[in-house]
Amino acid sequence: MSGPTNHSSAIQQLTQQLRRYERTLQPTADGNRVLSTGIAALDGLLPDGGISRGMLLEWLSEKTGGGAGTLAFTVAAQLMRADGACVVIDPTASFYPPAIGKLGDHLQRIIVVHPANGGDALWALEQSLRCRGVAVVVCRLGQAFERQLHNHAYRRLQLAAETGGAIGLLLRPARYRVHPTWADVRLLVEPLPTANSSTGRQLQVELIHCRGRNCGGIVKLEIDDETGDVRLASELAAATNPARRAAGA
Amino acid sequence: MPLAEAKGLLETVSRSQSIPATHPRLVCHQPADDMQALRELAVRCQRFSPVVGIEEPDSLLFDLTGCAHLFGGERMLSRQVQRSFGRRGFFIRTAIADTMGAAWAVAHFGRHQTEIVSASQHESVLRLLPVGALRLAGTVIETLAALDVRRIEQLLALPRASLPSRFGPEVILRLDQALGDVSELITPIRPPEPVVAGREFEHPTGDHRTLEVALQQLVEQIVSSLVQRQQGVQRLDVGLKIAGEKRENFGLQISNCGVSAKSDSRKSAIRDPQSTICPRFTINFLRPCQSLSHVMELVLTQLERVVLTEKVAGLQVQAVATALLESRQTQLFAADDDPAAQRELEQLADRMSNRLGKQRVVRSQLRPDPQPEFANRWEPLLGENERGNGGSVSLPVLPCSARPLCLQKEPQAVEVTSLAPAGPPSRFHWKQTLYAVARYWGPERIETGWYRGRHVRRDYYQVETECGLRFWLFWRIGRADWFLHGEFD
Repeated sequence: MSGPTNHSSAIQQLTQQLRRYERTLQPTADGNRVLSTGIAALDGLLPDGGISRGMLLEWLSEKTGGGAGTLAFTVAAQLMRADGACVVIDPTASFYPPAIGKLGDHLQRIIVVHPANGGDALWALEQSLRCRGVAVVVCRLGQAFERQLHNHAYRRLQLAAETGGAIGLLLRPARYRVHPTWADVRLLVEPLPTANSSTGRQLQVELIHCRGRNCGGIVKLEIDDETGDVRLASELAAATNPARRAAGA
Repeated sequence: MPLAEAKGLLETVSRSQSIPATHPRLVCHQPADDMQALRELAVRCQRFSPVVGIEEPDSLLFDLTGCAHLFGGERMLSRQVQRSFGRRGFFIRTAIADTMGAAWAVAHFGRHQTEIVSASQHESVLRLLPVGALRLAGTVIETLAALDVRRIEQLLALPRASLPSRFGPEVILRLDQALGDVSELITPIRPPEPVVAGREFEHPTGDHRTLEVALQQLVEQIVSSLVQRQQGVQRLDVGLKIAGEKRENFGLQISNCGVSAKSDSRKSAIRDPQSTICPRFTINFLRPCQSLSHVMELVLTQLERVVLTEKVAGLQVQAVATALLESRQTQLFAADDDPAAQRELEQLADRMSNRLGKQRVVRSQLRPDPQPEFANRWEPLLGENERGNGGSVSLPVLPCSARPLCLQKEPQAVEVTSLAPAGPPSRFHWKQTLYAVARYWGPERIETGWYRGRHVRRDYYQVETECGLRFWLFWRIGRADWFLHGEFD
């Protein structure tokens, strides 16, 4: 006799087994433990409640200025806290470190690479992902870069990350959401107009692709303008806004 | 035996700076680096004398026996030394005397910047100098000062036999050395022998595989000779001799400026404009390296970028800069537990800097400059500061308001509509899109740069469009034109 409990546990076991097959990660020294992004709401959205070593994450956004970069660097700072360095690959040479000056000492552990063309950028990205001394790689995939990032090249990146154990955070335009990907997780970041009562900018993060797991989760996050802390956006705060209540009445 | 002694002081403060943007760079004192610099100076000074030694911490000693007449006499020689150091930005004091001790004493405690002590005045000049001029230990000088023995003549007046028991054997030795009763030799500093390996092919070849094998053998020779010296390579030059050209065309480039120029541009790294027939490349290392596999990896990375139009008749590899392996103690990033991971990170930095150019692999140095363009400076990871890595003191950075994650290289002119003249923007055009401003923060006024010759007066606004995108716009005060300077991505 097999009750519904047995069914669900069997399905759970099979799902885990499937995920193990799909992920071909080499076991790392720390047993490939899951690392927190430092944002509880985002952890809840991600498979296994965080990021494992050797994962590639895509952060898609419609336009620059939407907050995806800030979110990615907040996560990168948290991942660097454990150990290792951060490599920023910036073909457009627009990355401006004073924006993340509050990271303090971590800023000295960031290597910034300004590749001249897409080929060099791809090479630097692969080399960085393959290096065991690198904890996280943040890369803004520019237009020249995207032309180089065909299927095989992307697969090489994934294998490099799995070999070295670095976590890749790739910032891409949202139009690539229809393109196939080798990334483990693909997040769509959309800015939301700031509510009057809010103390920071609000973003909506949607999980639009995840290897070995159903996707479709959405969270609304708020980045505090003063401290840079990221938290779950409060829905209740807006409802108590007298101006809005008056408008709704 | 006439001797010259020169005391060199590095000019620490170049000029008074009253402006916030050009703070003097503060660097921790590194005695080992000072000593290395002094040794390098000693090697360069061999044009004045074949025997040049050093006296720690700051003196160079020349044996001028039979040298002065080549320069037109001792006075002319002294002038030329002064001029030579002056051109390099050093302030020095020189003295020529019969003994090393007397020259040292007069250079440090004499009245003039340049002094020549003749044999007849030797003792009389020394007698008037303080006892510190005898190169004695600090404790001995303090003891003598407590007994009110301040000048050398007072010391000479004391019974000679009692000096060793009262002040130690050093006092007698130094006195005798200064007066010439005991001889003192200069230990010459010799330039390190160059670490070079070369090979001529019997038949010129254009085959990359053959070149790789030959280079592997040469690099092995270089590394094995470095292992014997307990040194690691910091900069390696590889020259390819083209068939039909003279041997001189190896032409390895050694000067610092040449190397940096080569690293900046990959094209010129492969083909130097002055000898277009002789491809050569330079490889820089973050840390002194002895690892054959790592050196070979970087050599092959560069070799595969060399386009050979003619056959190669020979190869030459030279370790231009080497250093003791102790420098390995300093790490690229401190507080890293795993040395293997740290080593991999350093090798990654080497690989990227050599392939992409060292100006393209950088680290941020925040500056306390209010003008956004100058608040960040990129410092090459594989730069000139590599030796003193971690030694430079970072200046306090002014707390500033929110700064965008993406900054335009140059502020981009945008068309902005404001409801009030000189007021906040209400609409603007950017990348063929019209954005309506829903919220704004500011203005943050930045007035600076007058000392750079270009007065900057800007009112910065952080604006949020109706769709939630955030930009950094400024209005140029007095010109009434708007620019977009960054995106809060």
